[in-house]
Amino acid sequence: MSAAPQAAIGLDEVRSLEERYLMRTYRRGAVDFVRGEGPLLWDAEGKEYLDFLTGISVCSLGHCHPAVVTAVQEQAASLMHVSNLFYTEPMARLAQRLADSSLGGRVFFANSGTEANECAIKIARKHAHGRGIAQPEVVSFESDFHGRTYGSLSATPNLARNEALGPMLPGFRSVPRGDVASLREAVGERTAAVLIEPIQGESGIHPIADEALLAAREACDESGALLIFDEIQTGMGRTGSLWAYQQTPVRPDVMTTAKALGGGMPIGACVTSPAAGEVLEPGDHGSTFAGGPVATAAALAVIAVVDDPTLLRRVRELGETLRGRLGELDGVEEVRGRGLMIGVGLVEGIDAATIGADLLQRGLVVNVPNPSTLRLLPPLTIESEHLDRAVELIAASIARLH
Amino acid sequence: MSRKDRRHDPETAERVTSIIEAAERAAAALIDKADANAKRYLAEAEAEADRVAAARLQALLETADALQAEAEAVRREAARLLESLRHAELGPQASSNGRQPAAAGRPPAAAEPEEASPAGSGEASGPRAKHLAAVPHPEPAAGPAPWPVPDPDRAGELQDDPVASYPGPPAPEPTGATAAPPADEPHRSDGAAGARLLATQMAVSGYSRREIEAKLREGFRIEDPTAILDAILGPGD
Repeated sequence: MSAAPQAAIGLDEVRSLEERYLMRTYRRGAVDFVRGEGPLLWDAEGKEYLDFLTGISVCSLGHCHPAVVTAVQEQAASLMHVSNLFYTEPMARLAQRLADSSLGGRVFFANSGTEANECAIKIARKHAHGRGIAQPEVVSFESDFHGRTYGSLSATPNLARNEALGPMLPGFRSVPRGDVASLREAVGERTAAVLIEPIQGESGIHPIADEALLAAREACDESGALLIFDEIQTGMGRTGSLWAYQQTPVRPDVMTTAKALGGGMPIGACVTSPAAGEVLEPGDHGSTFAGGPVATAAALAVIAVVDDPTLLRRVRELGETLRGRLGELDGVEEVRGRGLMIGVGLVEGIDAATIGADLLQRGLVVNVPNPSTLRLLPPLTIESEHLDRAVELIAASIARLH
Repeated sequence: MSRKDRRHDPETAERVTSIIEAAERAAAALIDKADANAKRYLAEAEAEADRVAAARLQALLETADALQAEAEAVRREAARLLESLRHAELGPQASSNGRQPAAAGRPPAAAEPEEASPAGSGEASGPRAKHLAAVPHPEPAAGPAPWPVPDPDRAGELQDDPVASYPGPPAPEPTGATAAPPADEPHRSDGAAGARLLATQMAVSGYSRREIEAKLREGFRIEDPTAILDAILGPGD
């Protein structure tokens, strides 16, 4: 006997329950979403929203993409979990797909981006110990965001300064974003890895200059360290190529991905070059849930759709169009990013948080990563009419509040 | 006539004997004929089998030849791509040996970082090229100072001050952070290697020749990237 679906209780009661029972780690927008389809969301009262955030670049194919839904339903109906003590086909096939489409080595599956980065850090440290480095060090850029578990957090300079959560792990240092001289000075014989977001997402969409990436690659080559790209937000087609590094003049040794990988299912992956893939051995790392059949089946469905030159070319074209139109708006100082990973820098005096709240009221979901930036991460499958609508709404909001 | 009388009738016995002999001869003839037929059928079947086997063998040989030709084509293509990659990664050495066609496309009046110093032309001992040169970035480098990183998982956190609970802003981004390093910096010798790797990665990712060409022109200030494009994509139209 199936349980009857519970009636929607409404935003006020949801907030009441949250206030009583959930830890206060989030400040949420005042919306109770109940349904999504493609680029659209609906709240409990039936109001429609255009989603230009996609759950922070997770639902890159839009909400409830039929291929992903079918994959999840079919896999869930046949096998949901057996642990990593046994073989399962979706995991093996996804590993092949990820490795063959990128660095050609091996894959470790995780449940999230920060866990994928933990694996990368572990690889870097063990690799360094193998080179006789007793106190290995990971170098990252200021304003990087790599996650909230302690290893990734320690590599996230701005959050690692929160002394209330200290002490952080030893062996992490940071240099100003894109500062080639500081980077070269920081990378030395103790360096295990340079960990980089090729386009910083959480700080407001800041692409790292090619020269800084080249300098990082060169410094790693000279010191024997590994170059790690955090492609948790930039990967899976977001920037117009399957992986963002493919638009740069460097190739990392290790890459992490998550967010859009599962199309809404929680999954992360650490992908390596062939050499780096030999570092971890049985017992070095593990996870109970990671690489489970349902999440990997979903990811296989996502990558089958995204790894399509036609779709990726369209992402580049739409991104160029959107950036161009946003750049022409009054009140916009600059537009940053690649593909459909876009940061809209507002002129001084316009509060991005106010604009973001107003846009939510108008039915456009965006994110405000800092007081002067709107972050846009629309579905890769967005239509031109949706871009038009979003630009109109942003223009109207700025005009009203500027 | 009694049975005894018939048994002793010589004429009857002779007639029976002759009948039996005739039957035996007929049977022998039939056996011989059947044997002959069997041998003929067998011979025909063997001939047919030989013919079919020969035909199939020929077809297999033709298929094998075709597969071998395809494999050879794939091998040549792979070798070409590997060579492109090798050029991309070992550009300094290739250039110094006069084997690097792409260098000709660089504008002489530009900074020419990859040609400015031989410091990067040392032997490449690893799989990856060393001394990759810094190159200008096509994206606009100037921008507002970076802000502290807010919570990444706080979509919709729009009503509150997103930075109120975070420490102050980090050190301001150096104004020259994205500018090219000094001209005498030793690692600025090989933007061409980066350009080739970029072009290769973009080609593998499905970018069009036009897109790659634009990126090389804008990002690497290569006026005529034809040589790089031809090496990676094959001769263009």
